[in-house]
Amino acid sequence: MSKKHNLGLGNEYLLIQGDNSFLLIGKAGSQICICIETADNEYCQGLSPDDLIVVSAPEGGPLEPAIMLLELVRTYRCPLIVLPKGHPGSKRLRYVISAGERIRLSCSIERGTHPEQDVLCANGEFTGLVLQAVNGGMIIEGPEKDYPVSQISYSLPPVPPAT
Amino acid sequence: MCSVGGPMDVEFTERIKGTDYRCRDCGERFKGIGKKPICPSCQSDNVEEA
Repeated sequence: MSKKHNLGLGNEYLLIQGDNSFLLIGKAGSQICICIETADNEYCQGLSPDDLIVVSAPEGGPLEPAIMLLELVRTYRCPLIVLPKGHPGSKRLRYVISAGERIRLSCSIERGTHPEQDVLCANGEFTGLVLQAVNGGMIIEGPEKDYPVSQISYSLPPVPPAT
Repeated sequence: MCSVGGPMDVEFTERIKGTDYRCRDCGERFKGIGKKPICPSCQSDNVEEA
């Protein structure tokens, strides 16, 4: 299966809703650098405006934290923190994020412990899916299943002026 | 399901490797990954391998 979905560079997201989990996808929107912090190093990855930023909620849950996490990285350039293998905090992570041109979903990795941005932890219902950024949208490749995909938009509330 | 709560985890044979870069605009040195190195300090793509 390979299906293209349109996605703009602004405050638009694609929501892929599974039975038990979901994926929220946005475009980088501009040329940005994201920093990936591991226990012993920092890696900096450049993103083009059309690259994808994907939040996975392997257990489902509210949508708002996924939007917040995506915007923390996209708008506020918060670095991505990678936990060491076997870290007890891994099981607390309900939302995980990856950014890049091509992202593969996998249920066989430990949440929050992989610095590689081409793989993202997801619920088993999404495992094997590949999200590929294309000009003006995204292509979903993978197992033949008709995942409901909807487009949503959200604007950050205005920041009050500094006093 | 994911490996949370269990030991299962796929180990990648190729771990992340970075290339050392220096920003020509601000002098920042950083380890970059991916095809499009961008300076983390000034967001410039005017960088060179260090």
